[in-house]
Amino acid sequence: MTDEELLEASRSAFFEEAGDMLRQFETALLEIERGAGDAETLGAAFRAAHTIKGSAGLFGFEPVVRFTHDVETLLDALRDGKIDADADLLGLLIESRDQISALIGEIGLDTGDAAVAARGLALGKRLRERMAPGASPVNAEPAVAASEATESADATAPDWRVAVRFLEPTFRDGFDPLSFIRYLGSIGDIRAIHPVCPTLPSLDDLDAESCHLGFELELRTDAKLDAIREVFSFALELCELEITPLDAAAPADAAQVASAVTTIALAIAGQPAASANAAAPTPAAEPAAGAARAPEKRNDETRYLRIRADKLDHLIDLIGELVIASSGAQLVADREQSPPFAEASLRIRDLVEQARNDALGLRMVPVGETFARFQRVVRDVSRQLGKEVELVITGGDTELDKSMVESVTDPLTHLVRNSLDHGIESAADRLAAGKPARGKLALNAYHDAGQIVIEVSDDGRGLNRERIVRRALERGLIDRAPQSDADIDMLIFEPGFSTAEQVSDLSGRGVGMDVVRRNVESLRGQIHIASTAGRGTTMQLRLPLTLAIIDGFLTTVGAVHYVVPLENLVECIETPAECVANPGADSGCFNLRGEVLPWLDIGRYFGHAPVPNARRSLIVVCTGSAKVGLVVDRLLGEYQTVIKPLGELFRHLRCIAGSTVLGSGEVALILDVPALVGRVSAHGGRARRVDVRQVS
Amino acid sequence: MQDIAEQEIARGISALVADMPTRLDGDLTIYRAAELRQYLAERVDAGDSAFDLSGVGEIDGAGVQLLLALDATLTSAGRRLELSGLPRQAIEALAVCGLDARLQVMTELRA
Repeated sequence: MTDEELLEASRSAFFEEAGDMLRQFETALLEIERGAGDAETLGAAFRAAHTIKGSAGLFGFEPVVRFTHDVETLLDALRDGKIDADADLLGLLIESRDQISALIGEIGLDTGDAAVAARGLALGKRLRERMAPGASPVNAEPAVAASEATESADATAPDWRVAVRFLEPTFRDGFDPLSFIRYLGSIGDIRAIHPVCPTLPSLDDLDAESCHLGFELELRTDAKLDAIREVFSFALELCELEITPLDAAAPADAAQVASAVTTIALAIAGQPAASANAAAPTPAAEPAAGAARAPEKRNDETRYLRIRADKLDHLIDLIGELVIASSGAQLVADREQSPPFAEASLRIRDLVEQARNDALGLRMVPVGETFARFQRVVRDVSRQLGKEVELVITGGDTELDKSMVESVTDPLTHLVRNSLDHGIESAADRLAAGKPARGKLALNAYHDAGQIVIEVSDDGRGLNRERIVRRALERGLIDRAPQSDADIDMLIFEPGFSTAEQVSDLSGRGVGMDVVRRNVESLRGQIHIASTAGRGTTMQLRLPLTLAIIDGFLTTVGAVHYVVPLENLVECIETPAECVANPGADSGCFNLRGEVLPWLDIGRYFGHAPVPNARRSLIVVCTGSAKVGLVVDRLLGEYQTVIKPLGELFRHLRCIAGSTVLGSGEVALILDVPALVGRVSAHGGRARRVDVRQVS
Repeated sequence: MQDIAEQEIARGISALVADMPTRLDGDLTIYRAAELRQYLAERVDAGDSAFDLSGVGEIDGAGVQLLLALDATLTSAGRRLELSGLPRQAIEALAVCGLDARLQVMTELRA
């Protein structure tokens, strides 16, 4: 990794962390606003603001530090019960969150947006006014965090002796010791400082990228011991830190701490954290507890490991290749008919399968985090529209692939906005219709047949099919009204369709719903609607769990291998009489133990030359509740496979989801079962039903 | 004739250069620390102890560490480091560490 990349990596880690923190901040505030918050929630908001300020300080992002400082101060007062949280204050804090986000967005730009700066000044003023109502206008001027902190460190504030030694990897890990000292200067007054570098070798022996810097300094501050230590919290593993109160004039609690010299040297190899604590004399219970917290936090940090996404992708690619290679070995083992070889390759296959599952599991994240973001969308949009809407989230712990989460956020946002805008009626209309004034919007997720299903449901007015048909005819999207309700509903996903009576600035521009469908289909997913007039609408997204690897069932048709995803496979039977009755037909219906199902001859459908004397079979596949029989020439059995996307030329191909390389080196095509089923159903088969989810 | 003139000029320039402080240009940061260390070590071996920092841009902890190592190396050899032309950023970075432009501690800690 080059130096630029290193810096870039630590900066992007900052942005990612800041994003996480802003989300936690927002979640906590919204919870408090709903009246569901407690002291812990407030603490979470405070910690999030504090962390943003701290890491922004390390990178020298001054505007972020300055503004967040005011937010943090206000939250601190809120936490201490000095001021009360009312709706106005929470609104102010939520606006402040957006301001922090805007400021972070401006990092790296040469010139900031004047509007952002102006809003920052206004918000900062309001924040400080809430802190001290009726404060003189002089105080209301924006103060630089550093000078403010210095002022507060008046003569009565206690002095601390801070000794810090940065360990060798500090520079290489992207930290600059000077940043910590500068940041320390923002929480108090550094009255004296000098470098202490006993390990610094002569110029000839120096590895200039190893850090040998240490400092001893006197700090005068009102901040507590924990707060001083917190300054170094981003590099606790990288430094030895000793903080001692300096004089007898220090307040009582500081005197207590005095005896318990806090030595944090956790990361020194081979020195367990516990022994460091045990070595420190702990006569008072309070400091002992304080010391115990530090290692606890560390454990928490080591429980998670940030990994670059491309490294993980590379690992998953490799495991994909391993899956192919092990299938190849299996084939050879079968051909050789050597029992020990077969046994060994079977063992390898088991292990590869486990490794594959674990590797894919690494990318899985609960969908709940994404859902939680919609609290804010629902709050803002419903206020804008003057509607009262409650968001109900279920199935938040359902997991799906991280890359999927990112791709699904946009379509989901649009569906949610659409439901709020067009689905849920105004309070007056709702009361007139005998519904509670407060509308309900539900987000739900669950796993079904190897797919993740995400539903956006509302208890609004439902789709007005008459108007949809009228509009589609007007716009020339259709020549005559479709027969089934489901087909009418799908019209809203046609490009250029919009039925909003008045075009609102939210979702009435007629762009979007078709984009939603395109996005979902590009993820190999489908979208379905169920709607009952006056009762509500449910939009259902069905998406694959991952884009990388599937368990498949290998078949051949003509000379071509086709893979059917195992999750879609129901059963394999001999070709029923109905399928051979009419030799020219490529589809029809057959009777499966009393159930009438459509069938499709894959060979004829894809235009393969018929294989003479083939003992053909029929495989029954399903998606959701629709079942279809597919006629193939030969069944080869289960097969684990890595999906390789089709080349640019074949992007438009329907019914083929991708390709894969077999152990023998041949290429197999992966059937897109949902698309096939959809196509067969469109020709007289049964359309899948989606039920309106009862929002209760 | 011209050859002799050129030789004279070259000798004159090197005599001048020998008396002038060695210039350090660019950023004194971790990104260039390894390269700068080698350069500084060579200059010290060549007998330099005066350095002109007027061309220095950014400076970070690694840069400060290099200056400290340079100072310590010269001091242990009985020589004295002379820094000149320190730009504002360099003075500020040293001040953060409690050092003045001659790398002397500005305020002693209380005993």
